[in-house]
Amino acid sequence: MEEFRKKIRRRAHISAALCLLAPAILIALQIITKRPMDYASGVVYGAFGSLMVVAVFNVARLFSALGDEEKLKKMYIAETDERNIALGKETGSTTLEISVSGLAFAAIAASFFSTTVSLTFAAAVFFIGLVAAAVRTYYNKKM
Amino acid sequence: MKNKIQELRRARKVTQQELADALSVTRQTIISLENGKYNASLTLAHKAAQFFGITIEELFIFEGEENL
Repeated sequence: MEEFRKKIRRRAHISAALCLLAPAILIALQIITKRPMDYASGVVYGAFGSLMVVAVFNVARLFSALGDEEKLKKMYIAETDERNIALGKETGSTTLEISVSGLAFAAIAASFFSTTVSLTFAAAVFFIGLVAAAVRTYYNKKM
Repeated sequence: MKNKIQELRRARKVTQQELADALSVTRQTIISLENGKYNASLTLAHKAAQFFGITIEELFIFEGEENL
């Protein structure tokens, strides 16, 4: 449990650092680029904003668990429960299969309308395949 | 794989939550084990057998090549 407490403390500190860094990076980007608000800026603001919201939520959740033994134990059980871990693995592999099939189908369907869109879907399928192969190789060596 | 978890738990008047706490798993895992929807890992099987003071073979009934 002491190891888990250290892990949670580390996570809480990382989340707290993100809470401070995210707005600082946004402000710095705005000052450096002096870019007018357009779609790209919106995407960046949206991404950093969401990151900040998640980080704030995590800081509250993690520090609250660190101060309460019962909450910490519940968190430990939820994170190490083997059925939850098995569910995560099963969900991940099924999601990957469905997503890749969907993207491949979309690439074929889009080829009738737009080469660019079709190639984008095909590139996404290729990239996912590449990542899956790399991850499999990594775990193949690890286990 | 069948198991005697529910039978032994009831005989010892232990609740699902108490057993879950003792084995450091969620109550949902105990429910799935009792319903035979989930097969425990070797580590969890060992912990459960230890909790009931019996061997893994006594707690879990292996019914042949069910996973093949």
